Amino acid sequence: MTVAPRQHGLGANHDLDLRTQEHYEWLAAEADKNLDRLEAQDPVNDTTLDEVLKRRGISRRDFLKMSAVMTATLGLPPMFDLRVARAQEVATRIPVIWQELQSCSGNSMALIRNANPGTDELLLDLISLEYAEILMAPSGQAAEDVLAASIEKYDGAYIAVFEGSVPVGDDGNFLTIGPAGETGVEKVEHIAKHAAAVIAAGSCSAYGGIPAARPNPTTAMGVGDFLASRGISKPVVNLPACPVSSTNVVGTILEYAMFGRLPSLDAYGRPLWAYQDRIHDKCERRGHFDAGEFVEGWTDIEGLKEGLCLFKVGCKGPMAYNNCGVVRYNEGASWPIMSGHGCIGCSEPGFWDTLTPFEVPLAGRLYSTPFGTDANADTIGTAVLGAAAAGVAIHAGATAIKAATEKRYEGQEKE
Amino acid sequence: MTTDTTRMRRTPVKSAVVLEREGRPKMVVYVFGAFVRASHWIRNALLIWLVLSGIYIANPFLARVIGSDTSSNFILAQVRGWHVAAGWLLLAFTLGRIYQFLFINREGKLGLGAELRMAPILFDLKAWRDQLKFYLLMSKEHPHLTYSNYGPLQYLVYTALYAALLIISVTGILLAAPYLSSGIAVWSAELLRPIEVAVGGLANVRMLHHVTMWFFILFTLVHIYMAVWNSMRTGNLLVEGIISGFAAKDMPGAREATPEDLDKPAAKAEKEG
Repeated sequence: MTVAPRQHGLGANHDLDLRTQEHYEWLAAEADKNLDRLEAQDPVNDTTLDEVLKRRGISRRDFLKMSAVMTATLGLPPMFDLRVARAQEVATRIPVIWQELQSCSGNSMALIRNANPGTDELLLDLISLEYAEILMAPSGQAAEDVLAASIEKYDGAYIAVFEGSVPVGDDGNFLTIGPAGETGVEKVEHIAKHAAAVIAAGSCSAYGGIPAARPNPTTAMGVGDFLASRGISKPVVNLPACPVSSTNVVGTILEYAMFGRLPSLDAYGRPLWAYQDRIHDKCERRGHFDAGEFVEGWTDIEGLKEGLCLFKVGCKGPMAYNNCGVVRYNEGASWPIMSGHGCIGCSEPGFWDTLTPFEVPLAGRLYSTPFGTDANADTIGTAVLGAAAAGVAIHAGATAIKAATEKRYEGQEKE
Repeated sequence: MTTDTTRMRRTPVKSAVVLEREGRPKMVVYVFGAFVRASHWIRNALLIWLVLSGIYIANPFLARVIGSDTSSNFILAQVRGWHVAAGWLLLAFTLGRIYQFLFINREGKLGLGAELRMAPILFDLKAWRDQLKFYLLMSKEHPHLTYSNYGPLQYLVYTALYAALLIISVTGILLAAPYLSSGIAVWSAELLRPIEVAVGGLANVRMLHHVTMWFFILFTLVHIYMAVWNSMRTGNLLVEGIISGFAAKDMPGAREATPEDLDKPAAKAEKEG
């Protein structure tokens, strides 16, 4: 079995033993069918691809190059290049509602702050972004009217993108939105109920993220967990990272446009095409890890200059699944490990709590102790071992004394 | 350690030797088979290697020399590889031993495990009292166990030991699998994935693996002390036994135990359980 059918398989009904070529031909036929269906629909957005390309000064040739890059990112072979291009053309048929929750809007920022126009930004122009607080002109009641109208108009057809966690504590009153003071809980329930699919963009939205870190004052939850707890069953795809790379958001929407479904997911609801491998597996410094060549500390200038492995200064790459090392940030300019700091594992469930401390390996994680100070597992283990050794010494001493008295007693008895 | 006060003489009992220590007759019997002894020491060696290499993997302390042989020898990959290999061997022994515990009966045949049937000792208040009194030096007599090879404390700790072996194996497989593209670790990790999700991701799996290591270190200290202490205090040759196979047991009839206890241990266990 190759990797590709796993990434783009359609679940149990599909025979995964199909040979790769046959599988891709079948997958391409599926894509064509779905793209034809979308094309037959009326666009919900007046913009056309030609217009957008002209406005941004992108030639058709460059556009196809970008599509080819996106195809490779999705783990699809070159026969899909033109299909990905076509998916962008028909993306004007897909209504999207982007709802901010308990978030810093960093994911929106990452999406709109691209240095150069790429597939990511093109698609942002093309998809019918019906409601997005960060981007839209209306505010207050006018914005709420747009939302209500969009939900009604595209009932069951739109993609709901959530950014930020859902605070369920205090009846959801930690987060209220709009002139009517609707809580985040009500918003998510309402928008998700009428959506075709849900995308949780960013770690907060996927798993709770920083708002859910201990002691989690607002009882923040990820959107997927929240919907499950309220019994709302919708296909949810988690796109964690802080911020999520715009490529992963756009790729997921493109995959939806091409195949009419969400991508195959891993155990944590993340698309396999983006989150199949760890940061560690795609890291340019990996060779130094296996060779035992590490940056020994932040004063180890030589090691930092050599670009050695950052594991000992706290890199969590071995525990984090994401494709940062491949797609990188800011139009592929760089990513954290390239710039000299280890991965902090921001795309993992349980981030922040389970990935801290950031500057030492995970074995240095601190636990609270009854003595008022925090200590790591090795310190606690050594202390317990010391106590056990002391216990052993005391018991051995007591046994020696006891044995001596027993002997004397027996001796007296004999006399 | 007991030779000065011990005399050996032949007895009519087949393949058994009777010891007399301070006037108390004991029978030397073959208690640990060759496989049990071999697996005890092999697992001991494996655990020492696993702990040492694990400490290195958690925080690689060997000095780097850029451009030296380290860069071609891939020291960390080597250590990790042998750590994982030793882990698989340990798991094989563990699973074999658990199978024996669950399914090998008194006659050495397939059935409800003889050791599993000793579980009522855990709820035997008298046995708990006797054993704790013995260890707290309030009684010189080793508790006389009728239906169980293990005292309640022993039974509890060994059960915990095997639980810890399973925990460290499962977390080890989950941690090893991402380094590999195919093979037993990959597909068994796929099966074990729900456990990874339940504990909250790979980072927590990593910490669980690390914390469980400390259980083995603590166990080793206490286990060695208890075995030596027991061997010296009761003269049951326990420490010698895990090398030679022979340990000293109380002579039947020389104690308060009734013949009924010795003849029908299983029935008694059922009655008490």
